[in-house]
Amino acid sequence: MKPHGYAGRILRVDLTEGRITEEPTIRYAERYVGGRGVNARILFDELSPSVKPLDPENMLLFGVGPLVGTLSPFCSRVSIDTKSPFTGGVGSANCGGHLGAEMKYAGYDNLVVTGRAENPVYLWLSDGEAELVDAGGLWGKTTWDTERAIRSSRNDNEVRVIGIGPAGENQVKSACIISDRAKAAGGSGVGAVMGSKNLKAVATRGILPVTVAEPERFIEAVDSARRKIEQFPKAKLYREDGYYGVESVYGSPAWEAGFRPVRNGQDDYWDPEKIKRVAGDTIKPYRKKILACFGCPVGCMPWMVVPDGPYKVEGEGWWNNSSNSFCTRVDCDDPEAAIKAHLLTNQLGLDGDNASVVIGWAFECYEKGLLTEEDTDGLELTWGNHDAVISLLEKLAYREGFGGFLADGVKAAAERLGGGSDEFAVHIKGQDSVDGIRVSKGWGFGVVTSPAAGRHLRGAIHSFSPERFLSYDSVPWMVYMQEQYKAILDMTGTCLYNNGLLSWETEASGHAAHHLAELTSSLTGMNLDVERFTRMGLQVHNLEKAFNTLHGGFTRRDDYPPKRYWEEPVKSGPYAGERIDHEKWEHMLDEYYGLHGWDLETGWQTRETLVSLGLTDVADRLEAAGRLP
Amino acid sequence: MFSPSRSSTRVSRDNDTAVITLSMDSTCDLCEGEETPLCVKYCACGARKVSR
Repeated sequence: MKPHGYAGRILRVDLTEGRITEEPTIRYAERYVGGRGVNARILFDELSPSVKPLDPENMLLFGVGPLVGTLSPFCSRVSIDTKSPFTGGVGSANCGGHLGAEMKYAGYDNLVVTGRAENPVYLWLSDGEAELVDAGGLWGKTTWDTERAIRSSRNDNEVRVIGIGPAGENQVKSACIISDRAKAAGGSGVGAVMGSKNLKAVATRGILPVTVAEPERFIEAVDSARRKIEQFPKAKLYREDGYYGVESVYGSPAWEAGFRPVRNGQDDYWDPEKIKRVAGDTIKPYRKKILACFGCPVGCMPWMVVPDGPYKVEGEGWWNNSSNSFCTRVDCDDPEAAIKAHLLTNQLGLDGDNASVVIGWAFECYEKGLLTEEDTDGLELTWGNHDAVISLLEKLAYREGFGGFLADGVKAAAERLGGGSDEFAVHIKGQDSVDGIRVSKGWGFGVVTSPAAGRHLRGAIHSFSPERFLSYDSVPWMVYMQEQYKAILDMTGTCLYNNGLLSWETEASGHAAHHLAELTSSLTGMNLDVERFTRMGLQVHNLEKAFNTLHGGFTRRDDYPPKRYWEEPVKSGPYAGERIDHEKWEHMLDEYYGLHGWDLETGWQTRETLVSLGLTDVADRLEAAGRLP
Repeated sequence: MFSPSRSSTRVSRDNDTAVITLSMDSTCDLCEGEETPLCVKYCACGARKVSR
């Protein structure tokens, strides 16, 4: 009998052999709940450090949590984990949409993909059956055309598709995996890994049931969560205008808090006249509808229409980071070009965050005379040249000409070019990092220490009030707590972006953990109070940390900001002169490692901490590799 | 339990146009006996309504 709240099965697919097997989810669920938790355990247990990220032996795991596909709010997320082509450490991405629920109704909680198919294939999942299907006719297609073609061949417009575009096929490091044409599992080069396996897509459709352990208690928990969301003062505004529309209007502190580095991070403050041209209120006329993921009571993804002109385009997507990646980072203030660039990345299967970093770096190289038009296929990489940005996105995805030079990320490009260009190559642990970290200290510390390397979806603390975001006080503690809470979200399949609506009266989103504990307990029958749940979150975070130590060889020296942000202050605006205080950063690291029970000198985990978390086997493996202090 | 096979209604979206369509089959009895049809009560977006 399958457990309540789960589809009940993990699917294993060996693409080299064309072999498909199954195992029960319950084998992992009791300790790691689901989604990223189960993925992290399998990845740590089964992947040898000798395997390189684009080797066939690397693993690509998709996981949905127990709350996905139920009435629980915000529960649509799919976690995708692998060994990252950027860092050699853990690669972890996450997306919403409708695929997660459909995958569960098709009968699977997790997919574990290994090997490399001889020819392109896609994986078809339907009502407990799995099949590898020839995808030769799909290879070369954009993510949008891939979805159209699969739906057409299945004669079913409700098939859910997650897959790669040309960028993933060409193993570009900034390739992501796109679900529902718009939801990007971005970062960590997950799309490149999928491409290296000749796996074009996963398509799914199902009607299998998900049972509930305690229905009345579960419905009470759903009602309680929904009441909380309804009480959020901006709930109605969010529904009407979306997150970007509400929080990124002109004058919002988000524009000044340093989240959006300017001109490849030369500054963290942008000309107000340029902000006005791409702020939330200016973008509004292009937004024709707000769309929601499965089970989401808010909805944050807009349907954008540029009706005519050179950037004519229509499709889903424009997000907070879009105004970073396609505006401030390259100094472009044309909203229509920026919308075009965002939707183009969705089609090509490029992660805009990663891609814009290496593009911004190329612009700065051009500014400094390290690159000329002879190097850039004739493109004039002057700040604000949005046509060049759009051209480079295409070249990057196809590894065409100068795009091929950029396709392995900013660290590799700077090493090849030399000339001191590594001074402003913004990467963390080897991964291109889009986030600004000099002004908002909790955000920055979370981004830099993230096991997923330079990404804000682990411990980064989001605050818009200057007295909070400028302060170093309590940052290690808040990041430490946020890491655990984020793990709970990813284990259950809950969205980070809107979950703050379950804890809107405080600045600590982790206060929503009691909602998730009650929802998951009543759904699955597991007795998950907040204390037990957060301990599980710590276990998952520590599994990823151990993977990084074992595979990536990371130590304390990898928990420092990129050189530019370590040495250069913000140049203008209200926070001009703001920089990272080196002594305070060292103190934060000491305090953070101390909270985790990790060694202060090396940054490695200790046997004592791992044993206390029930991870003795992890300690044994680290010790055998000489990676315990 | 949550099971699409037991549902009498279906929401689908055209990803080329963003047009959302709600369809219901002949088995829908508007949750007879309930004060409000459950799909209306629990519609995440609050988009479903009953017009009699």
